[in-house]
Amino acid sequence: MKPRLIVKSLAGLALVLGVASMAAPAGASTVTVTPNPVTVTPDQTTANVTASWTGLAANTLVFVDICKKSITDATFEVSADCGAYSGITPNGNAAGANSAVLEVFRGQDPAGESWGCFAADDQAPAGVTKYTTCYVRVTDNVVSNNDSDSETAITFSVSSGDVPEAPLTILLPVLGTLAALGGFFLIRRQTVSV
Amino acid sequence: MKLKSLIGAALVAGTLLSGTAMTSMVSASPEPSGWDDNNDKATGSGSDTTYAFMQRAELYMNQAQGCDTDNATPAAAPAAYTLGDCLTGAAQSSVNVNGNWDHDIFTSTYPNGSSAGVKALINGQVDYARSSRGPKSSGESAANFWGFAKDGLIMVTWGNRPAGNLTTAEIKGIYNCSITDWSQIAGQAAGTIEPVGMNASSGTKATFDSYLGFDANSGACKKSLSNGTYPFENDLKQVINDSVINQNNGITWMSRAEYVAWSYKRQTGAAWTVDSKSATAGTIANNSYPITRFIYHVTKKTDATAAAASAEVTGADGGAGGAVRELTEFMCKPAASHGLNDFTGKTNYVELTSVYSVTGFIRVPASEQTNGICKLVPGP
Repeated sequence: MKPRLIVKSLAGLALVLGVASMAAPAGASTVTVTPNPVTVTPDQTTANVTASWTGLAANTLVFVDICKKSITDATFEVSADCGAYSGITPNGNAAGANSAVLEVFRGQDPAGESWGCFAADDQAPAGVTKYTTCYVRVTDNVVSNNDSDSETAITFSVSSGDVPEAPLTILLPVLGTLAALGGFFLIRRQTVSV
Repeated sequence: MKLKSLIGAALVAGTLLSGTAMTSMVSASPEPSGWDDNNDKATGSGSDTTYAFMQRAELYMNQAQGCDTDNATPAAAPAAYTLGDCLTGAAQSSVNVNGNWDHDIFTSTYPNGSSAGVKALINGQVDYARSSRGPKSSGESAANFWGFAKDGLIMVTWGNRPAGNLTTAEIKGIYNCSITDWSQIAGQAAGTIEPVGMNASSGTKATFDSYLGFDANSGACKKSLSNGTYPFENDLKQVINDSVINQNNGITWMSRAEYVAWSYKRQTGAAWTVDSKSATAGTIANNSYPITRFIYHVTKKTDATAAAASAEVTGADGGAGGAVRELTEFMCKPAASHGLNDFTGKTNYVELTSVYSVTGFIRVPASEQTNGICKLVPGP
């Protein structure tokens, strides 16, 4: 093969590879939250969950934030739509995939802005917009990076109350009834024997 | 008479004379202010840490709505130059007092350190200062320090040194040279620790010195750059590129805000936890992270001050001092007191919120605010 033809072939191959790499999706990260729904007791206002991500840039700072609006919303802005006090910034790693404990809030945004994440039956304070679906968003490098961000929706599930109280409400009347019956039969037996 | 009072009086008179429906305009009667109808120019200097924030805050203050301006072609004589100043009397129809009435102009000069900036302010060489530390115990009694944000200091390593946890005692030991090898830190491979110092004028250094209880540059083991100077604060490029500092054994500290906001300054640095706490916005806000600080806009007391618990800033009523008074109020007033930005349609409170986000700082938590949304610390 002539040298000129080899150069042309290599250039063509490089072009094909270049186009192929450009065609790869830009924001290929993922994030999951465990548990989700986030189970809380009636009075619980924060809960620790595990946020796990993949597909972020290697060895690059990670931003994990709690937001009221989805990144698919054209009006999404991280400064206005994510909590200023509730995010974490773990160090990145070589894999671009890791997990971290994230404290999610139930109630008004801890920074005092007029929105919050609530369970379905929660009553939001006056002037505070209630969101029953919030989003955990991850991105890398800087918090405003919308090229590699991803999100997962989170909701709250409120448990019915403390577990030990339910059996006691059943056990106590049963035990009381049994004790009364036992006493009744004991007295009756003593009376018969006399 | 103060400008806003004049405007209010004019509106009242107009209402009485015309009998027309100007009630809503009169109800917006302006407060006493630092405005004087002129485009005053005010300049600030000081901290590197707060430079990016103040540049952006100044942009929104410079863009903020205000008076109707004199747009007539200027006369040849400079003394008659009034282009851009506020129209007066009946020619003035604006009642917008929630922004920058005079369209005063604010500019931050290139960073030269908190202490130098505060000194220049007290000397009368600049109109306001940026500081990443609070007031000194003496020599700064003429200044008011308006804390408008919070930050933390993080411990940072780079190269192949994996980030872990340092206790406060270990950090002190590293900088007083009683801990000299990384093997003395849990989970770390051996190597001589190289604690890097910082330029003495830095507020970030002053905060770290306060945390340590001694001068971070005083230990015999501390490192400076190959040219013999200490690096400028919050910029790892200098230490990472330096030939004298071992890339896998060096350690320094920097602003958490700058670390998260500027990847070019952060380079390959990795943040350590301190006393098992990560430096997050939340742990800085609630002070559970061990090294937190406020970030300050500094004024002369005569230019801008406030009564206890008041969001109303008082002081100079004109000139550059009056402009500084209004800039201070702009930065410290709550959301409801802000007007719209003509370029974005958002309120300037929302725009300032984006500045906090972009620059990595957080607003002062409600529990620590003393005046509006700021924490005022007068120089003692």
